[in-house]
Amino acid sequence: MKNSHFLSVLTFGLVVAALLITPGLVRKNQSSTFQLTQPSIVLANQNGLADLGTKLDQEAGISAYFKASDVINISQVKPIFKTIEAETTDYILGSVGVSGYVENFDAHVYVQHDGWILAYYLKSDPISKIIDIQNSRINTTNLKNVVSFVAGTAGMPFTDVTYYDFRYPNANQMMLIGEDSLNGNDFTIQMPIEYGYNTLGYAVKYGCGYCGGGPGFYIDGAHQNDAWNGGTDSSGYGTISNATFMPGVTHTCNLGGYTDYGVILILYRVP
Amino acid sequence: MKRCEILISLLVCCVVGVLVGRADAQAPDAFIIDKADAQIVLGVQPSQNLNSLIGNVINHFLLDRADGRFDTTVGLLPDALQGLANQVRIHYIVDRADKNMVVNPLYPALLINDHTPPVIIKNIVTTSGGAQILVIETDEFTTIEVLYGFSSGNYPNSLKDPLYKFQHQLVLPSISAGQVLFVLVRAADRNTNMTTASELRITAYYSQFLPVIRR
Repeated sequence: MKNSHFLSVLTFGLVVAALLITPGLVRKNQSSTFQLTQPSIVLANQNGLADLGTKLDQEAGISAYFKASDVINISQVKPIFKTIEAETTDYILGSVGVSGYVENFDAHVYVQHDGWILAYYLKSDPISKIIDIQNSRINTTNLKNVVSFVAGTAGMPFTDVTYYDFRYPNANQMMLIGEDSLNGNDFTIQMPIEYGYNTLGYAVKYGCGYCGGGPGFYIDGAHQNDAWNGGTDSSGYGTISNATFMPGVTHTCNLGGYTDYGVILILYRVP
Repeated sequence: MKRCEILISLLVCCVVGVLVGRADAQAPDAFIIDKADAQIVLGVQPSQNLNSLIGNVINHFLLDRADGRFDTTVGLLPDALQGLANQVRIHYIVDRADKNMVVNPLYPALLINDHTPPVIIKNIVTTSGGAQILVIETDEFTTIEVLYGFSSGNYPNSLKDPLYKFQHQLVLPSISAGQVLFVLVRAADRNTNMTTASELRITAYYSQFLPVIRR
């Protein structure tokens, strides 16, 4: 009986001692505290740039960037961010919607206090996601539109973006070719054999209430299967296999029925 | 009684049909002309002379039902113009497209502002088919410059891989047995940060055939 009483007292004492020793479980103010880890981008040097490179190498595909002529007030551009992954007084990283597009097209955007604006899509996305297919134009892209929007929100005069694809560091040119459904809906293209080709993609805009008649993008008669498709009255985009689009051969590209506009995009290297 | 008559009639029809069919099958090939007003048969004979003449007709377009025709000669470009045409650089041939645009991607070096030099993870020499192959691996995209010479610290020759890769392979010049090649590898990342590996010494070994001595 004495032994059992002694054991009970000893157990109680050990439990109390353990609770007192264990940090985080017993606090003076009893508030819950969680250990938060800073995102890798914050752990970099003072302005976070070194890790930005690592982060972009790991997750970014096609990107567009612009350096404003003056410093950017981060709090001024913050309201246009739909999501925020990281934020300091020096920079903000998150997602921004593309005007006129569904959320699938939201771009990842990095804005730095000293004037840098960079927008990108993930490396898992086909490069053709940047095509501004809803507006049937190739003189701009979804990423350029986003960078322009951010610059405008920051009150910075915008000129133009520079593109870079983090997946293909040797690519030095990108070509976009557009085709509408007026006065013929097809074109031919022959790519020089002297160039190196990194990736090819296409985007189409559907113009149908009822999508009969084989809408979409065709290459040499073969229908291209959209990697993403917004359905009726919307758009689609996808990747073109390098193996089916060989250089030195004339390929015919055409829009299917009920397809208003199509764009082919080629990322390549001129030696 | 009526049934019997019908059966007999059917049997007779079958027998007549079979006989007529046999008669047709055995008839010689012949025109079957019905209700014509006249008939004539003409012999057709090939002419060797005419055939040889037709054989001399040059290759030609075959026109049918056209209302007119006009030929014009398309000659070669004059030398001066051909010279200019030859200077046109290699290009895409795009036909019937409604629009096109070309842009030049460029790494955002100033934005990334990376000051960390790349790390050379592997820097080894392998031999394949008598050739010495230098295999270099780096921890990020790099270009490679290989300097080499035949005395330590003196590298008058170089090889380059200008493409950004994680792994590079360069073929070194062949060296004779016993010769030593001194190699220095430099890797540069997209922000032009550079790493230089320590000097590699590559020696070509030779086989020595010793006589087999049996006691």
